This record gives sequence, structure tokens and C-alpha cells, in this order.
Amino acid sequence: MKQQINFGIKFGYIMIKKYFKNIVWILVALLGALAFSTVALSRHESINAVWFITAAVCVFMIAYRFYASWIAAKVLVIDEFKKTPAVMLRNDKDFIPTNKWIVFGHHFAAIAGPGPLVGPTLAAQFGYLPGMLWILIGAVLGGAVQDMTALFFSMRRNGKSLGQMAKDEIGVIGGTASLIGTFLIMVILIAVLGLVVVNAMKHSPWATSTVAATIPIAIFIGIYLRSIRTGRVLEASLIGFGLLLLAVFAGGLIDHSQMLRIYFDHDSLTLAWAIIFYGFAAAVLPVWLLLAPRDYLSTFVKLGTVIILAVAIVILQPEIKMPALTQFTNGSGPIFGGSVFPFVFITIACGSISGFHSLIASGTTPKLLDNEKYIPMVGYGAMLLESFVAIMALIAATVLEPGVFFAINSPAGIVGADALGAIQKINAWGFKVTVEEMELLAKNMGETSLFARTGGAPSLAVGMANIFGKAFGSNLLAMWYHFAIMFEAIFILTTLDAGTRVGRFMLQDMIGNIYPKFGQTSWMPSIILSSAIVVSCWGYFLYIGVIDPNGGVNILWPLFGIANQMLAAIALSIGTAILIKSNKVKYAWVTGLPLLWLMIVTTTAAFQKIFSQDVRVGFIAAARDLTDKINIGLIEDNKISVTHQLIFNQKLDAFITLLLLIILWIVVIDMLRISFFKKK
Amino acid sequence: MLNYIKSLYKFIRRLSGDDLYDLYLMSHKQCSKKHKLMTKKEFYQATLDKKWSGIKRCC
Repeated sequence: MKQQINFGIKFGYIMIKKYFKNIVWILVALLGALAFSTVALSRHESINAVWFITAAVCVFMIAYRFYASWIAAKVLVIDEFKKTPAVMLRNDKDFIPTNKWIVFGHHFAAIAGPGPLVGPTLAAQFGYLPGMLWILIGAVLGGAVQDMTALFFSMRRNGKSLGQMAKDEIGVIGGTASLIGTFLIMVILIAVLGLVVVNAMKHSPWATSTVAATIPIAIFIGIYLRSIRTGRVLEASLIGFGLLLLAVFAGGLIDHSQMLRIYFDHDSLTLAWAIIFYGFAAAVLPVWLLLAPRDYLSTFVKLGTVIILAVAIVILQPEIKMPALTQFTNGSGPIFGGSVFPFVFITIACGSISGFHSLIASGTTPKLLDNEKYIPMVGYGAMLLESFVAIMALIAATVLEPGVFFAINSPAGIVGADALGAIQKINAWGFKVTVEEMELLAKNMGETSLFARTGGAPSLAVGMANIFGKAFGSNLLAMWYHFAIMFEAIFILTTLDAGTRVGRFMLQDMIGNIYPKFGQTSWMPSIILSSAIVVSCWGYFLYIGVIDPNGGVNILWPLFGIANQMLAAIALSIGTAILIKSNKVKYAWVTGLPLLWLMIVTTTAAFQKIFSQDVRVGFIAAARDLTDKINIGLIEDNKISVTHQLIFNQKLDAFITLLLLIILWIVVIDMLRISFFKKK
Repeated sequence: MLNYIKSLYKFIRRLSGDDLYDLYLMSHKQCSKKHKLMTKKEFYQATLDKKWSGIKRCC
């Protein structure tokens, strides 16, 4: 009798627990639906950012709990009893069984770069809604699936890289395409990120001195970590963080000193050359001296700032001022030309779906996980967290008054170099802002002007400073602004250092196939020559971006987006090919659908970038327009040489876009051919 | 509470790579005595060389 009662209690407990769980998930779904529909359907003057956070958290929770679990159980058939490469091939060098949270932390720190901060900020010109929807839907159905499947397939192949898997599964064409794609993406990425930093620093002694100070600080930390307290990363990072805060403070003093500020007050071109020289030095110098300590600092600052921003948004619950949709969805936007379809899907790559992630998911991470059951958490979960960072960047950009947002982000080539003219044009678009407001804002932020500060970083920094200021004290707005600039610049420069070095290794490897001595990565002539070639490649695009009166971002960011999405398409092609070849055709849509969507948006965007008759969209049309202007004498004599450079660049960009498009289609057609052939 | 703080500190050390040499020493003691034990400096250099030989940071 007693046993029966105990059984009854246990049974009742299990049933209550089961139903309670279901009720919780139903409530999450209802709350998510309410928040999502509020965000999507609201056409009021402003909407609270808490709705954004709620919609994102609920969508991500449901996607992780149900979709990721379903993919793990049914599509990939994850086996928690199967030995992972970390366990099977353990050597405590490359293959190290590691705690799941540590792997999650390392994986997230590796995938979350500056992309999810910049892309959503630029895409806010369409209004908050297109970016918000694409970040949520793109991440859940595309980006997280890509990362998770790439991680799984790499783990089942002893931790093979994306390039090796492309070669094995699709063939030499796939392998070569992924190699060329990776190199191109690296070059364009570094150029555009360099441009973002240059635009944040131009004629800003405070920002320039703070960013410049990060170099000696990193070198000091490098020496500390190597020679003073070897390997004590935690204390070195804390010291470095303290020094970075001091640099932000000292930057303010420099800005107020008439004697010192002139040493840090430079135009874009000078700063671009400084970045190019720095990039070369960083690629040639030993890792311990600059790259590694900078990475420790940037990871520390990145994670800390993102957490503080999330807390500040939750405390402050700011109102979103940007409308859901702006008139620029038709393609006439000042930040970059092109309509909402396909360009929102190209502009926001990191945060929704980023091909670059597949290189990380098939790099170190598969060699660390000690159980397959953690694949959804690391592969899918880390991408959702990055998407959350993108949502926060979108919030920080859209809490600004739209007039202010457009005044900061519109290049002089579109709104004019004169403040009054720019304001009149922005007012004519229907966004209220005055010259006095912009002057006061610049003064509050410790800047002389915030007009035409393109690239996304300054407007994001103003948004973050507003949020931090309101949450933690508004008398330090200028400090918060420059802290935010330093925060963005420090890991942009880490990506620049690391990217140049990887480009160098790739080049040494490629040329090493012809001339083996060149392939020795420690041979100094090879280091210098390959570094110089890589830096010249991205330095060229950075230089052109700086001299372009339309701001450069207009060209470079879509090009980066197309390259990144092409790499994502290669990763998804590999996944689809493996699923088809392993008789899982009925599940091939899991990777096949995001692949199809990427094919549609990337092809449309690439086609428009090459052939559109709109001079702000089409490269060929822009080149023709500039040629015509020279021929009819509209270009001043002293600008003719620069205009010829811009014409050449437009044609080069058209060629690169065409190359990316051809690679994309060859890989997908080859994938289908091989999958079909193998299946038979 | 103290245990909680201790395990949090341990987690942060592990996450940041602060305790990598301690782990190496333990691992060396257990299984690879045939290899020469690296000094702290040699180990730090080897760790960095390995870490930065491929794509480790994304966009």
C-alpha cells in the first residue's frame, strides 16, 4: 500500500513536472509572439527596446530548445557515446578535451568580431524592422544551423577544416573556391574595418590618441606576459584594462591641450597610411609582442562591454526613435545605395549568417569538445548569442533621433560638406534635426563635429554613450563616447592584425607550392614579402575608400557582405552534399533552404552591384558616370587623377563581384552534380 | 558562497587561459614524462605559436 502511494506521488510529480515544462514553453511562445508582433506591427512614434530584447530572447529560446534539438536528434543523429576527436586523438596540444563552457567561451570570443556591431548600424537606414527580422530569422534558420552543422561535420571528420571538407566532399573546385573566397573575404574585411576606424578617428585628437595608446599598452602587456609574469593572462588583462581606461581619460586631456592635440589631429588619408603601416608591422612582429596581448585585451573589453550594454538596456529600457521602415527601403538610402531586398541581407551578415564562422567551427572548436551532445550548445548557442549582440547594436543605433543618425552616417558626397546644407537635406527627408543640436551633441561627446562620420562606429558610439550615460551618469558622456570608440577600435585592430597574419600564411602556403622555400613561415624574406603583398591588397581598398567622396563604406561593405555570404553558401553546400550523400535527402532542406536563400540574395545583390543603372548601386554605371563627368568637364582639374583611380576601382570591384558570383555558382552546381552522382 | 566564488574564479582562469601552464604540468606529470618539460616561457611561446597559426578571429 505504502509502495503504491509512493508510486502515485512519484507519478504525479513527474506528470506535474512534465505539464509545468510544457506550460512554461507555451508561455515563452506566447510572450515571444506578443513581443514579435509588437515590434513588427508597431507604427507608433517610438517603441520600447524591451520589446526587442523580449522578442529576441523568446525566439532564441524556442529555436534552441526545439529546432536545434530536432536537428541534433533527427538530422545529424548526435551520439553522446561516440568518442570525439578531442578524446580519440588527445595529444594535449591540438586535441584537448575541454569543459563545454570553456569551449563555448572560446568559440563565442572567436566568432564575435566587429561585424555584428557595424552591419546592423548601417542597415538601420531602412528602419529597425528589416534588420530586426533578418537578424532573428537569419540566425535561427541559417547562421546557427550553418555553425552547428559545420562543427558536427568537422568533428565527425577528426576536426578537418572547411577547405579540406570542401575538397573531400565537393572536389578540387570546392576546395579552391573556399581558399580564394577566404583570401578575398579577408582582404575586403580588413579594408572595410580599417575604414571604420579611420572614420572614427579623423580630426578627433581624443579618439586618435586613445586608439594610438592601445598599441604601447598592448606591447607593454606583451612584455609583461612573456618576461615579467609569464602566462598570467588574467592579471595582465586587468592591468591592461586599467591602462586602457587611463588612455581614454588621458585622451580627453590631450584633446583639451592646444599644444598636444595637433599631434593627433589628422585627416583620413594620413590615418589610413598609419593603419597600413601598423598592419604591416603587426604582421611582421612576433605574435607575443603585439597580436596576442591585444587579443587578450580586446576579448576582455569586448565581453565586459557587451555585458554592461545589455545590463544598461535592461535597466534603462530606452525608446526606439527610428521608424519601423524608412523611405530608403526603395534604394535611395544615404549610407549605401540599394533597396531593402537584397541589400539588408548582404549588409547584415555577421549577426544573421556569416560564412566566416564556418572556418572557426571547423578550426579549433571541434578539437576541444569532449562530447557530441554539446554541439547544439556551442555551435547553435554561440551564434544565437552573437545575434543578441547584433540586436543590441541595432538598439544602440536606433535609440538615436533618426535625424541625428542620418547626420552622422551620411557621407559628404550625398548631403554636402556644409553643415547647414546637410541639415536642410536631412530635414527634407522628413527627419528633424538642427545644426545647433548637432553642435551640442558633438560638444557633449567631446568632438568638434559629428557630421559625415560614416562607417557606423561613431553613431554606434553615440548611441552607446547615450545608453551608458543615462544608466550610469550623464556627466561623463564624452568619456563614454570615447570608451565606446576604443572598445570598437581595439577589436577591429585585433581582427586587422590576425587577418593580415592569416592572409600572410595563406599566401606563403600558396607560393610555397611553387617555390618551397617561400612556404617556410619563419623565413624572414618570405614573411616581409608576403606581409607586404597582403597589406598592399587591403591597403589599396582602404586608400580608395578614404578618397571616395561617397565614404567608401557604400562600396566596401556590400562587397564584404557578398564575399561573406558566398563563403556561407560554400559551408552550407558542404552540409547539403553530406546530407544527400548519407541518404538523408528528406532532411537536406535544413541546410538547403538557407543555401537557396543565400543564392537568391547574393546573386541578386551581385547582379545589381555590377549591372544596375543606378550610379549609387552599379559599379559599371558609376564608372561610366565618372568618365562622362570628366569628358564634359564637370570634374575639376586637380581631381581628375583621383577620379581616374575611382573609375579603375569601380571596374575592379565589378570584376571581384563577378568572380565571387561565378565561384558561388560553380560550387553549388558542382555540389549538386557530385551529390547526385554519388547518390546513384 | 566562498566555494561559489572559488569555482567562479577557477572558471575565469580556465576561460582566459591563465592556468594553462598548471594544466600542462599536471598533464606532463601524468602521461608524457618522455618529453622534456618546457619552461613557463617556452610553453607560453609554444601556446601562442599554435594559437595564431590559423584563423582564430572572425569578423
